[in-house]
Amino acid sequence: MQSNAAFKRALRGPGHKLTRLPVAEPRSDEALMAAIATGDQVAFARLVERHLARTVGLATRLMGSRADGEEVAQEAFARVWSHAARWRPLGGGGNARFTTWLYRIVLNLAIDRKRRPTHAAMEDVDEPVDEADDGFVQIHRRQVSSAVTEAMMKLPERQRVALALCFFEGMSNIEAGKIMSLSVGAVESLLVRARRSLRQGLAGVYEELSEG
Amino acid sequence: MKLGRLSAILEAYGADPERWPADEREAALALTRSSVPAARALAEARMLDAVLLGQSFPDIADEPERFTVLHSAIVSATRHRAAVTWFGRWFGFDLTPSQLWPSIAGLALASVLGFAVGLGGLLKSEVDHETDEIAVLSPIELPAIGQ
Repeated sequence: MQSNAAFKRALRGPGHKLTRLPVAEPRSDEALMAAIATGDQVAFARLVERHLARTVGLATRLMGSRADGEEVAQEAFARVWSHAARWRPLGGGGNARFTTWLYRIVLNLAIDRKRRPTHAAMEDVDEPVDEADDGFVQIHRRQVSSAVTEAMMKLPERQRVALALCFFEGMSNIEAGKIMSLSVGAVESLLVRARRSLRQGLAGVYEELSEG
Repeated sequence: MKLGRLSAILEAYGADPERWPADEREAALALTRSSVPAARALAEARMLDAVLLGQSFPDIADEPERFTVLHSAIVSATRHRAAVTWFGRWFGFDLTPSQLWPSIAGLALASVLGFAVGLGGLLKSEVDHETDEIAVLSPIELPAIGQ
């Protein structure tokens, strides 16, 4: 509540009356980051709420495990909180949008973690499947999913990242290039190599699908 | 657009035109409609897309309880971190090395001065004890009574 009051005061500026209610409008990531830089936890909660699902999704794709993905997401938001004061918005001295910066943090944390030896989380171990009803379909889906995850994890780091950003997260090659600090051409080249490797690595699944 | 470029686009971005570079999308789509080899390349890319999209991770947005738990964990961790940060700022932990340097120098100077003062006091104290010991152990020469 205090943060809302502070936000209203900031919008009013000295000696100006508030003519409309700014709280009814969603605050931009940049506005939230400015508030977080002053220690505003309400703004932080709002920002996390807005980006949590996609951050977990990206981290999970990069890590190949939901549990690891959630841990990376937690760590990434902790960094957002602790580095908020140093972040500069695009056009305000910075060179990236908030999401570009956030995904770069996720990417770095995921790469860092991937290089460390880990143990498999219990959560990632397949649960027994009820073979009644669509049990066999479920088993098949899991097998395909596991095969793709395994093949993805075998890709060189940068190919995996490019594929996760562009194919799975639907980012443009320009945005992916900014996150990865690469040119659009370099991103495209990584994507081509990644998909070629996956086509070879997933030949069995691929043929099964072609025949079906 | 030539078939070679379309193949490169399909190789890189897959079969969904939404993922293709915006400035080449229309030309690429037109080629897939007018050329049989292009249409075949599109179908092949679609096949690989289908396999890749078979990788399914549950979306946390579809699990409100899990989302709430994770969200709370992240936000509550910052409350603790906020207290630590406040404590850290009080001692200058969040300053850059150049900003921190005067504080370190001041602390070091104070430590040296404190040590010097303490050592000086200790030495003085030892001397006093020594004097006292000499005074206790030395025979006292008293004047003879009745002389």
